[in-house]
Amino acid sequence: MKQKNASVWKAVRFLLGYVLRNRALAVICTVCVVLNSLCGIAAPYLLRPIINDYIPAGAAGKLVRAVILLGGIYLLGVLSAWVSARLMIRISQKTTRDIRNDLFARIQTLPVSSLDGKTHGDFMSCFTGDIETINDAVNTALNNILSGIITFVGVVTMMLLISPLLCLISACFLAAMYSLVRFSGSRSRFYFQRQQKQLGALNGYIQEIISGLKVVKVTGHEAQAVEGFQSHNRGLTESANAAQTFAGILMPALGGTASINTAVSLCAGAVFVILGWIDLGSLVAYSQYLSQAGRPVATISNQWNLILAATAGTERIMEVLSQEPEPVSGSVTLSEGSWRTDSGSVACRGAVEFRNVSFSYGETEVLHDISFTAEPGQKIALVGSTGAGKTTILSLLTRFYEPCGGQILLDGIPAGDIRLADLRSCFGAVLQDTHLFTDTVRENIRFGDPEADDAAVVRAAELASADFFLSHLPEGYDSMLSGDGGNLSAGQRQLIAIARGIIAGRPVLLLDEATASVDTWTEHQIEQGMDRLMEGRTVLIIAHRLSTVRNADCILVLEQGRILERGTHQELLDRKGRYYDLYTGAVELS
Amino acid sequence: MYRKLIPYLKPYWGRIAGSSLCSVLEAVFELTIPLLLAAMLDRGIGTGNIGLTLRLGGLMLALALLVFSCGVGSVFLATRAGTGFSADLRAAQFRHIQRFSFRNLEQFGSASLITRLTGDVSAVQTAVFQCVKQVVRASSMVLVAAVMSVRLSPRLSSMYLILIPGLALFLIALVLSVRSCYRDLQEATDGLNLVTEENLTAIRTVKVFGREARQQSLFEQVSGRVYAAADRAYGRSAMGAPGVTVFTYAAMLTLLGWGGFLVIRGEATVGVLAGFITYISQVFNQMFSLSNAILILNRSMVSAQRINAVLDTEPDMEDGMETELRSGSVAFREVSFSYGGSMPVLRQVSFQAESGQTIGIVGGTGSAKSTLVQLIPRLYDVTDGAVEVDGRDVRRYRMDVLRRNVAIVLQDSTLFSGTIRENLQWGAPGASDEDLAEACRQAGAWEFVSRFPEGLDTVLGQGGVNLSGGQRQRLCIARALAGKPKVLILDDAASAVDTATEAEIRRSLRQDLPGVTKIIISQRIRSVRDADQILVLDRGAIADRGTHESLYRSSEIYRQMCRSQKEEAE
Repeated sequence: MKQKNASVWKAVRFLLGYVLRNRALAVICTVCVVLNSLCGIAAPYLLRPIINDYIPAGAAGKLVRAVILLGGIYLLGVLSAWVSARLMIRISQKTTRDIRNDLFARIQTLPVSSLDGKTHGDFMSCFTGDIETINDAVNTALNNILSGIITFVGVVTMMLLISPLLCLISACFLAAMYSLVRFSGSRSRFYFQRQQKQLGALNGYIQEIISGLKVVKVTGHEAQAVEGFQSHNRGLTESANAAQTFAGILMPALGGTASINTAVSLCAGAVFVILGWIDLGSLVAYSQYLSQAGRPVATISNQWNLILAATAGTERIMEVLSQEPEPVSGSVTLSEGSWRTDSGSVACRGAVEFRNVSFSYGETEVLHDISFTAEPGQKIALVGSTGAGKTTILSLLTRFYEPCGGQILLDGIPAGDIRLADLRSCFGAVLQDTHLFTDTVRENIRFGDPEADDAAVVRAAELASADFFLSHLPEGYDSMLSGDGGNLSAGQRQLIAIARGIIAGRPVLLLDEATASVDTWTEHQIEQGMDRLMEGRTVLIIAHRLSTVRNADCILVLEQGRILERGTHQELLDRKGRYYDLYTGAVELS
Repeated sequence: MYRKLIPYLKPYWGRIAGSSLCSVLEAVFELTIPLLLAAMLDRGIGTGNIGLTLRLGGLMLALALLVFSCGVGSVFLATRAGTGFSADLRAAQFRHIQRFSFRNLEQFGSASLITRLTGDVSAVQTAVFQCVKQVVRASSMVLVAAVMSVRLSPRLSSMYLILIPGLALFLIALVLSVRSCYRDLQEATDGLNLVTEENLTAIRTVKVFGREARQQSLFEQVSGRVYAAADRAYGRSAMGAPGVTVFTYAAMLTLLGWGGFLVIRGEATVGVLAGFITYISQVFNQMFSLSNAILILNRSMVSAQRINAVLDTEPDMEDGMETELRSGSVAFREVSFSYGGSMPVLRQVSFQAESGQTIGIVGGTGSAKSTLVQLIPRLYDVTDGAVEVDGRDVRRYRMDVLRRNVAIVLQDSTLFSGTIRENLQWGAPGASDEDLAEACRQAGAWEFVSRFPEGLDTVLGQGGVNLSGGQRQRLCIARALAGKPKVLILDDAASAVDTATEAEIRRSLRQDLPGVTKIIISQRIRSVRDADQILVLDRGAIADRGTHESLYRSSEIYRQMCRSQKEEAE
């Protein structure tokens, strides 16, 4: 419990740090909240003499003056309420915007390894749900809690002044209201968790069926799919009933308790009046204050729930923000095509060397003692089953991951010594899953090189055999790609990605299943174009289809993280080993 | 927008009415308590009668308990109506989606359909029920409070004639201006989510090309847009509460000034004035929650729209009547097809496959091989010309009959969570284990299925994660064969299967299923070289056709393909 409180306060401090970036606004806002609460307490005070004294006494002058004064206080109250609410919105929006931007910036610098362990949903929920809860809390909670406390303290003081005995009775009910809120809160949390679980199950089912809907249709499985859906749907309805009932009952329950409180307290008060313990005027005033006292209890506890929700979200965001970013600095930098090291400068040519590199992901060893060199002008191919470690080799080279043992050298310089941005600027890549951005085709290709002009874009597309279909699109290169290029076929998307890799014109080109969805004929054409382009450059290529890698200078056959065989296509065939089996189709790549 | 969703509320009218009645009673009882209080103060204390005071107090307590139970009852009934309504709405959508054609599916995209089934439904549920509750409660409170205040003093009540329309105008203007702001906010938020999501998926690409700065500035731009839109939307809504307070206070001051003089002149009493004050704030506060309810409804308008879009989409295929399909002969008669754009995807395709024949289809990326075969089980309908199975236009068959007889194995080998048996039975509900084992044998899958300790009962994770790509593909073929189809279409469905096993599958298809028409798309020439007829597709038209030998002699494109995978073809 104590630990939980500590983490709550840590989250609150974190949020306050952002809120207080708008110190001036926050100060004005606080002043307004206090003003507004004071006006709220003062107004009934002025109201009473009007009704009790001035009107019955027929004092018209006093009446007019008091009404004007009251009007002034009302005006002040309304103005301060509006100003504080308006400012609070600005503060909370600025707060969430700043947190959002910082969060995004941090995620950009995180090593890929810390992104891989999580689903995108985990990060997305930081940007959507968690930020929203923070917004709710900052926007209303600070305001309401402050005014709630002032009102509550003021009102209770007034009530105590009138009659401590009546206060005792009312306090019992206020305590009851408080525990009601706590009880209902904890019950509804329990049921909400159950509802979330059911919802998760339903969403999972929907996800699976809807994404596989084409198969549902071709196998005529529609009726059974509806049946399965309904059983999850009914489960959710049951648990949602319980959860929403408990959450919804809170407000009427509070209202009811407040009414009961009024009835009992005032009835007792009336008896006190008859017995002569207090006077009638005090009882009327007491009844007014009593009706005001219940609200802060409900508001504060409601707001507290909001704050708790926000701290949960904040903690998740803090966790992301506290993750270690990629180490970006390095003693070796790149300028004008050569590496500047302590001992002089080396030309940047793109020679890659792996020396006894090993890598483990958690407990499992993914790569074991990998050594090879790739000189400029060479094409090195990696083949092997899924999970053999091919993609990992490329990930180590681009330093998405750091090797656990051995050394990776670029132009003879240890990769770890090179400034990260400079290191990566040596690589052009076409990666396994083709990701395009919601933008025009032209901008997507220019993602590889922002300085490229239109002619260069077309040239790259021609080399990638993409020009043919791109120029036939209704708006050519200005066509918008939507939702990860969803309006193109997988093969066409790959061709655009290849053009993006080509235009970057980097010394080392990494192709990871870059033509998996492209037919062999088009692939052949791309290959010819690329061969010309890649003269003097280093190419590392991964392909499932062996015809793709046939003309590589060296083929590395990987199995379970080890290099099993290496050599040219012909050498490997002559060996009649693993490669030969793969090539003749005796074994299947998985 | 909501009108179309009203029928889904119908089964719950009883509960909604009950819940509304409870909340009206709650309002009435709540407003009666001040009357009893006044009576207690005037008569109980005035006469010093403790018995009467306690009786009135007891009555108040009883009313308070009634307020409590009516409130709880209202929530209880409304919740049950709400969850039922949303379950029905979800089910209606889900059922409707099951009827969608492929074209319909692509138009929405699966991610968007999932949101419509989940998030959007709960948004609508919350909005509708909040709205019903607040509207009922607020309007009954306003009505009761207005009646009570008119009874207290018709003369003072006349100020309602100015104040209520004034407040109404203010609230309507507010709702209208905030509504468009929320729309902007929604759009800005969608943009933010898009940029974030894309950046997360493509993080490796961003990092390799060193474009972090571009992404960051893009994000800050959309983030700033969200900030501006939210600041405006919420900022305008924040005028609501102070605005209503202004009206309340104006009424109070009028009451005190005007009413005060009336009392001084002896035309009203202090008691009337005090009572009036209670009701005035009730009336105005409830009008405010009414406008809030409208805003809530408005904010979920987008969700309602999106749900309607699903429900309004008519599956763009009509079912036929014919239930008899005897042979698996397939014919294309001058078939043209386009996905809706002006560019035809298939142009004037004609060919004939006799029952039991094997047709191979090869061609480059984007040559529309997949599109062509998907016309046979009517995953799409032709734009022009006709596709025939067993001598009849496919559009004349009942859909379930056609698809049971024409089995297609799609490119992405999708399996579902559950056992292997359950997955195979998708194609053949109630098929016996022997039948399933036979289908597995023909698809070359029995070899590994029988090696699993659990056999057909082996549970596959979601998407069949514990199988290799080749194994998944073989199970998908087995699933298609389990239904004993008359036409079998394999759309590059064995690309990850090793060549020896693939040859074995082809052999067993030829020998064990002589009556089944087989249409095979493949990237590998080897997979189709034994076909009775090979179609070479180029940009949506049949460029050449013939057997392997004749094509190798006559077709330049075919020769090029063979050469690009030379050793494999030998």
